[in-house]
Amino acid sequence: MNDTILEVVDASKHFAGLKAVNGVSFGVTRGEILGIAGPNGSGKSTLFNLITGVPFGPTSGEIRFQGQRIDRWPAHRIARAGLARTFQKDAEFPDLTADETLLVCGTYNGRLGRAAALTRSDEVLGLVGFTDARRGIPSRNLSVYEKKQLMIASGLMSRPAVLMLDEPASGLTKPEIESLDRLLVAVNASGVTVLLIEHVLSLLLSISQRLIVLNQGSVLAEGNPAEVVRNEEVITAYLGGRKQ
Amino acid sequence: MDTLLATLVSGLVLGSLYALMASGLSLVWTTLGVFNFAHGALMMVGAFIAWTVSEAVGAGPVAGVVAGTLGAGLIGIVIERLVIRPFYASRNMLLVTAMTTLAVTIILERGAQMIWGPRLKQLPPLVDGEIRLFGNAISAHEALLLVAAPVILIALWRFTVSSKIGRSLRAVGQNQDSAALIGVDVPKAFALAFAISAALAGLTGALLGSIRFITPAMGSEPLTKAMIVVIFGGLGSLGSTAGAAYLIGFIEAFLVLWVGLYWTPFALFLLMILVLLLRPNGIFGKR
Repeated sequence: MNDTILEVVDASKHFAGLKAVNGVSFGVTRGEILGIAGPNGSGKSTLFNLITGVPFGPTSGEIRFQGQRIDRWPAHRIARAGLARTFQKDAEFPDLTADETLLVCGTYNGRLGRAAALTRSDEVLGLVGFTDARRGIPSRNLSVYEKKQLMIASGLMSRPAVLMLDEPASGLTKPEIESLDRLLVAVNASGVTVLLIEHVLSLLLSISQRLIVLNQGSVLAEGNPAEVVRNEEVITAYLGGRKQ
Repeated sequence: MDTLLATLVSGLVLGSLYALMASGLSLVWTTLGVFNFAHGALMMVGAFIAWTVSEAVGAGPVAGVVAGTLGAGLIGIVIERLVIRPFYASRNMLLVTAMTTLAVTIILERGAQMIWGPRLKQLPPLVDGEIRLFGNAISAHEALLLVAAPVILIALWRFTVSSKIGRSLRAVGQNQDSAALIGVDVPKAFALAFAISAALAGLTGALLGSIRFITPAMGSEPLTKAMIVVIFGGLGSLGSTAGAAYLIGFIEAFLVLWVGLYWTPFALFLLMILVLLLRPNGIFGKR
């Protein structure tokens, strides 16, 4: 673990008796694609919340990003430091166009001037394969896949070190998932470390180099994706005890 | 014909006033999701500060208007910090802030009574003389209000659409979490939206201070009208709010002509109830 870019140390989040995340520790190596899986309610999105500070940080534990403790930082500072994240929700800013969304991302997160932000918009929209003709319409009128493209593009505006994606494949058709697969590999190849929460197992197995499975707020298994999904405990957690 | 034109002109003056008031309310609503009941009181404070600088200090009406605008804006920042920001995370934020901003209204009104006393005050007009509009004489100051309101509204609209900060305010209004994730300092954006809104209220008060008397309660009636406007137009966009403001201005002017001053508020509220029943999202509302 020499080149650990992000480190979660014994992080917990408790809500009035409910342990949503309970003593989770893991490291993310620079340049990898790390998959995070787990049944509904296992604490995957809460874990992302703790790391990015949106809408809350951890109750206890430490989060380190590029050697700095970030678990008490305000959300915008974490974002500006180079940790980008997308949500499950489909349109981030329903009334802003793709161009406007990226301009806000570029000028705030990326701290770019207007001209530089526009140039960067062209780059990231090209990278995610967003159709030029759709750039001027309000995001709520975009297709599901276009919204995902825009979400990933906005995450990339600031040239983040780490991109955290929360179920990007949800609601996509099979060909769209295949496009997303290629897109995420391309993003990763451009030097961005990727953390991927996903229910679509084929995507996780296809692109992630390591897989963590959460269950009831704790890490259940961690390691090579193909091996992790064969783990008895993992199968039990997913299928509720039935034999496969 | 003369009466009709005079009523139209009067509706235009009222509409300008309501547009300035309601656009501030709308800005705070779309950015913070808070309905600011202290908006009328901020308008009143702006008028008193303008009077103090212009008359008591003797710096003249222009300096008064500038001071009233900035002063109300600063007080807006303090209000946001003290009685709105602590409740951002609250699940009942809308209800809690309705109560806290109502409390601020009482504090500001009583405070103004203690500082400036009960005697009626008035500002001199920014510009002297009269102007003829459609054959009707109106004061040059009112004419200034007619011109200033659309100019300010268009400037505000341009600001939210094409400036970096304006775009960030819209982003915060649509999705606070995502806005924070793309690097926008959300609390700062909230404070800024509140300050701009409060400054607009102060400016309105300072301009109104030479048309009406300045009293601690002067903000309540324009606030009520601005509420009717935002219910009419829907609280969404600046354009529909401004459109509704002028519409209400004209309706009020004609109601005064037809049913008299006494029954006008009754008729306006009846209209508001009808709109709420038939078009709950406002007559220009989409959803």
